Amino acid sequence: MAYRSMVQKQVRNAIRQLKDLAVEVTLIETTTTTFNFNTKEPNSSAPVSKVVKGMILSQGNTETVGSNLEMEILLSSEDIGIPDIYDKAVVQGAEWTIVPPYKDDGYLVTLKLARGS
Amino acid sequence: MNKYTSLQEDIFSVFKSVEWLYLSIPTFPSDFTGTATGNYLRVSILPGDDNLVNPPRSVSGQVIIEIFVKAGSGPFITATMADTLDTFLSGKYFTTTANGSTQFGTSTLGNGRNDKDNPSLYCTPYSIPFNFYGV
Repeated sequence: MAYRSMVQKQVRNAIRQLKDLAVEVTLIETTTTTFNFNTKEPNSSAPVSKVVKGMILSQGNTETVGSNLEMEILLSSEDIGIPDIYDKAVVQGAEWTIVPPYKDDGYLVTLKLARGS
Repeated sequence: MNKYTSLQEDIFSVFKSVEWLYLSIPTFPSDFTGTATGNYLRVSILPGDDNLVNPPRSVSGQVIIEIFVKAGSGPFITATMADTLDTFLSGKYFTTTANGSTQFGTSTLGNGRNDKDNPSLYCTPYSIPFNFYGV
């Protein structure tokens, strides 16, 4: 077995072994390539949802005054394409915006999520 | 008063015109994250002084249009795109709402640099001053 697929298999195993330490994440992905100056909105494809398992690395308030929340979450790279600011993630019943930077080592991806409370 | 939205309507009327769309130059406003595959433009409106006649309703400022081209392709494409922008903007006068009119001045092309977010692109700022006269 090639090393890459061996590591990917172990990543899948590791996420499975997390059991209730893992959370369900609904990824809502859209493709947005152009902006329509007539409608004043981005042209986006219909959203596509999928449910994956992930692990919350951290969560809390941002440093600025107010009620903005942020979360870092770890997912398998196989479960997500290249995210952008128009993509959403539903975690523990709340909808979050996926914000840059996006860190992907080829096996695991760390996503930063943000929302108002 | 709608000073800022009227100003925006005037400026963006260029980029939704049939003549501009015919050129097929991908054009985005600030705070838009798209996936452009070739050369493209990003338009930012920077209102500045309001020391014109009828100050509460009028404002002057600059439109900054960042011209993104593939890094290493030389200055010719950028210059061509800047000339194209000039034909649509330089010295032109727009009235798209009942709230006022926008008069453009003459443009300048700034120093280019590799884009900090995507160094495979070379970004050159094209800027042109405007006065929005509110009524």
